[in-house]
Amino acid sequence: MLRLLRPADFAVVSLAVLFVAAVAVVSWAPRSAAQVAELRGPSGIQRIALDNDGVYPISGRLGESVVEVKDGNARFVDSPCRNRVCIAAGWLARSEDFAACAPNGVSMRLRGQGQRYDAIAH
Amino acid sequence: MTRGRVAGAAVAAAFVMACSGAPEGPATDQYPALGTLIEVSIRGVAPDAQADAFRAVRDAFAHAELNWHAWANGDLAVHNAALADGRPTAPPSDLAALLARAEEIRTATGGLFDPRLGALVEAWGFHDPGSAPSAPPADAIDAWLTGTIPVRLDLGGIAKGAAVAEALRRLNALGVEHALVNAGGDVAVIGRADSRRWSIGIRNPRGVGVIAGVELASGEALITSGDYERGYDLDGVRFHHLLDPRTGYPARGTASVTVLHTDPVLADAAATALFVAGDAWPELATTLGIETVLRIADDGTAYVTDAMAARLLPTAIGPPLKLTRVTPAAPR
Repeated sequence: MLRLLRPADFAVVSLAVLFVAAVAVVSWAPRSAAQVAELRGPSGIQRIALDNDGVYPISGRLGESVVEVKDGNARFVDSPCRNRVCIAAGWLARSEDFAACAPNGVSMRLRGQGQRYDAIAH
Repeated sequence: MTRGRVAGAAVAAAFVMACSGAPEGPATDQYPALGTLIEVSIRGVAPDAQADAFRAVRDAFAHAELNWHAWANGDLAVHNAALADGRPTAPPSDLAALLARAEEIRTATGGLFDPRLGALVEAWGFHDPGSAPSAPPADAIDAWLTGTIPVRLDLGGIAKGAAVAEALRRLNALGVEHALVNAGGDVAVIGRADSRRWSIGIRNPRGVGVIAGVELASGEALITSGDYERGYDLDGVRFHHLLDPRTGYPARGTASVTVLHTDPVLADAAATALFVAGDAWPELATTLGIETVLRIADDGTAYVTDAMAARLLPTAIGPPLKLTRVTPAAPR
């Protein structure tokens, strides 16, 4: 049987095996890459694509919190609270990473294609 | 149409329905209350009834914020003022019931959960997120430990759980069958998210990510107490609001405790008491009848009861959580 196969057949089979393996890796690997920053405040939800670098304000109960998006990550850079817990949280990088300014009533959660939670016990 | 074609059309229709995208997500509401962020999700509620449902929950939290908060101008403040003056006081029934429950749990925890901490909380400045970070002088802590200052009741370790329970009760009364209420880590649910249970991520106490997930059945609550929520850093040392009534200082050795139970009030108080108990948490959990616990120690070790290990779902987002199983002793 093997004698009936030519070198090109082996190449085709090898390519097919490689293709299936690559598809499996992409399909079943943990999906942690975030794609969107979901900003929630008293006035609703604002979604910002993480490939859209920039600085984005979000209105809260005390005033304006500010989010910076850069290189696929996002962070709070300003908020009208005194403790600045949201700013201290630093960069959010992975899907479902979460930070909030509770006094201002605003939060940010990164969203991706993979696992999603209905709420974060924070 | 032949029987075969009908069957084929049915299969095709089922396939199209299955692939037609995710079911419509829940309606949500979010706002600050009780010093934290309140998130509410409801499903299966007609659009014209959603505003009433959200208003009922907002009313529940507004009532709790005014009347169960020691530093507001409501019923608990009036009660505390009367206690300080030595006057007789008869709080409204809801507050009286909550105070009785708090006292019951204080006794059960041997004082590790203590609603009488108010003056100490104030001395540390944890009652006011705007107060300047400053540790109280030792004599102020001694004054509280020796009982030489008037008692000021603080229901901070139980009010969020009680408010969450009340919010779900009000939603249920309005006919809402599927809801999730999250008061900054105090999560309770009724019904389901859609074809699945409500799914909750437990926050990494030392980061911004999720360390594990839990799917909650209707009527269950998942309550987390962590040292990251309220507090401040002084000279590189973290001072947080979970005070140890035995020392007057923030409890050490624990980063967060998560409790799963059907009673949000007990779970809320228990999460605080188990946090304060430190390494002695398994014995206290047994005493309280709490079976489902996750404790993240200060060094990052994740201790779980067998019941919690059976409920935790690994997250596909971050590295797997390495669990150290602890089997609490059987109740005596």
